[in-house]
Amino acid sequence: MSETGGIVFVVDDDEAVRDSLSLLLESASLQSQCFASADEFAEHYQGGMSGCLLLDIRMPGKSGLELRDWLDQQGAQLPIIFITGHGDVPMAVDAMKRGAIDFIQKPFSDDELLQRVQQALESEAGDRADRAEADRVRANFETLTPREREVMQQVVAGRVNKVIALDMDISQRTVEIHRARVMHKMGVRSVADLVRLASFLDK
Amino acid sequence: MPNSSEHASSFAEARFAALLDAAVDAILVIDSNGQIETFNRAAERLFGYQSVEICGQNVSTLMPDKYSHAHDSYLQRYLTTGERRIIGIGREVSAMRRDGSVFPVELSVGEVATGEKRRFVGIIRDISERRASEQELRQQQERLEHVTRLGTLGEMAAGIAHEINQPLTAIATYAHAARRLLSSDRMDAVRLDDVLGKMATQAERAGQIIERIRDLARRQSPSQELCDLNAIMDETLKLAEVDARYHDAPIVVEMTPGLPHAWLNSVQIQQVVLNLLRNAIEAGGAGTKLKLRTYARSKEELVVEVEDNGPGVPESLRTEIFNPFFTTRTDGTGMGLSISRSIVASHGGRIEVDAAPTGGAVFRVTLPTALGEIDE
Amino acid sequence: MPAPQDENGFTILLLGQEAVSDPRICSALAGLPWPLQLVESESDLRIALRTAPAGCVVAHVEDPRAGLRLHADLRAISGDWLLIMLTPRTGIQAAVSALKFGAHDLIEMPIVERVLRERVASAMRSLENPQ
Repeated sequence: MSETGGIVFVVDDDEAVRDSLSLLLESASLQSQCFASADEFAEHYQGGMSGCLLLDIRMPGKSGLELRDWLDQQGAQLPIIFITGHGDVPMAVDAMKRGAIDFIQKPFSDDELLQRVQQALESEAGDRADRAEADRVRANFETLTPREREVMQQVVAGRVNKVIALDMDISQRTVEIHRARVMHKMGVRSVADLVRLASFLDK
Repeated sequence: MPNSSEHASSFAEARFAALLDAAVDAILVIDSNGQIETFNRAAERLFGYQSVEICGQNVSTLMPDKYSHAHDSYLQRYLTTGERRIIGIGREVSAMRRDGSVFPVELSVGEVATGEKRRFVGIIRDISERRASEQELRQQQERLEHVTRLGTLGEMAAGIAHEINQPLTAIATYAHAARRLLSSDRMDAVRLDDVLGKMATQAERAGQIIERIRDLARRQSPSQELCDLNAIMDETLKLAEVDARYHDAPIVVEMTPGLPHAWLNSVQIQQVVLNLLRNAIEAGGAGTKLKLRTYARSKEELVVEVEDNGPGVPESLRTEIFNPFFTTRTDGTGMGLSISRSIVASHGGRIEVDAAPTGGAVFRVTLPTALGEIDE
Repeated sequence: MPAPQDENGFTILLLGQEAVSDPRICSALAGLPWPLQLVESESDLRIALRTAPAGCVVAHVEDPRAGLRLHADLRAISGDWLLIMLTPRTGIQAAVSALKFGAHDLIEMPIVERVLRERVASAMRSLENPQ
């Protein structure tokens, strides 16, 4: 199993279920933290947490679905796996439509649960890396002058220096200088890399 | 004119005798010593005696032994003290036919004072048939109660399934985790012992839930025992909270400690309160806030209240909802409150509904305490 | 059969013999402000999909697995169609898989007319106003 560094946040009102889940996660070398209610987790929640949520749907106080909506409002990116002791098809469909990545019934098979948790952690880690990359790209892009941005857009669009120079009514030499600065500021060596980074800017 | 008055009197007697014979009910007249003076046709048919053979005998001949001894003294007491045990009241007693068979009758006694002589007129109605149909009704009601109890159980089944699922999930998860840790050599004997202990605890927890349900489902004799109302409510809450948790409807409990005891059938009272709690959850939906309250209104009366913050019961329906087959639910039998009312009535109590301060409904069950009887 | 088109071109396709012959399903969908086209079999689906650029395919499927095959077919033709499965046989895990692998919605049969109407309408609106 790959190491994602993410924590599995277990939110379930049943103490024994929480305790046994954390033991199971430990057996798979996964780190976990347990919470007895949605509110307890909400209090603990901080933006930038990484990992995934194993969330009981039916709990006293705030329900799992309500916590999901609340996390959505906070802009949280944690993937949610719902677990429920008494679900039905409409409940499962509703949870999935509201953005859960999975919905598992109690009692569950250990392999299935661990596999889903692992997938969730990996997808979250991937998203997190993408977001970090996007943030870095955006920050670098911010340092470009308006002229450099214009040149970058033309380069990404696949135009050669000569065409860009004509289009912007500047010398080819000037285009080359702008272009070099763009590559330097954006931290890339090839046009192909620049194109890849530009795709983050669209997001 | 003595002649004409005698004539008038014998005419009146004859008319009276004819009237007596035409009456559907058995009628007899006794004197102040209990001797039978008059015995009408209906009485002859009812008891199997001819008027001529019974007249002059003591009325206790028509009673089973356990009453017959007391009757003379009752009569004597009334004549000397005026204390009424039966005169002018009417009650259900047992009577005995000529063949010795005992049957239930409704007896009303009136006093006729003519001059010096005091006489008593007894009107006797055979109520064997009514008794039989009452008994049948009672049996029917018990069957219905049983069915309703099972119905309530069915409605609670979802919550119960959820509740049992929790310890089962924990047990399975502990077991999976322990095996994984064992296979990767990360589990020592001390730790394994700890996990096995936790699994056993969870198995017991599941067993307790099942036991509670079995208790409720078991058909129990409708006998009443001297009980502590709060203890019955504790038992009720164990069951109700499963359901309430499932529907996210917290129950706030306000029980007054040290309530006087009462003669109660604990299973029936549990059923009444469970039914009220269920109705409240049903009416208010998830998130309903419930209150269960017990207190003594006086030395003679105990009260159980179930309050909710749901939609309440409109004033126009507050009597109607206790009628059989009244229901607002498509899946309801409409028997729950009606049966609750008859259960409470069989305890000598009453049930009513009011508006709660929060706008919901408050169902109030009033039950007599055993205080009066202990005093005696 | 020429498809009726609304100004946006969004259409509801009702697919499957059982669905198109169910008066409750038809009447529920006919009341919505989008054109409704009835398609009896999957073999007619390709032709029907060409007549409108986008919309919802409301399909009766025996089980969600059959629905997923249909979803793959839809994807192959065009990505602008949302699939809503109506199915008489499904468990929680099958339903979850169907949604994980791309079905937009899944409704258990027998349907409740109001529910079907609301869910199809909400899917259509999500197409009309993306995000």
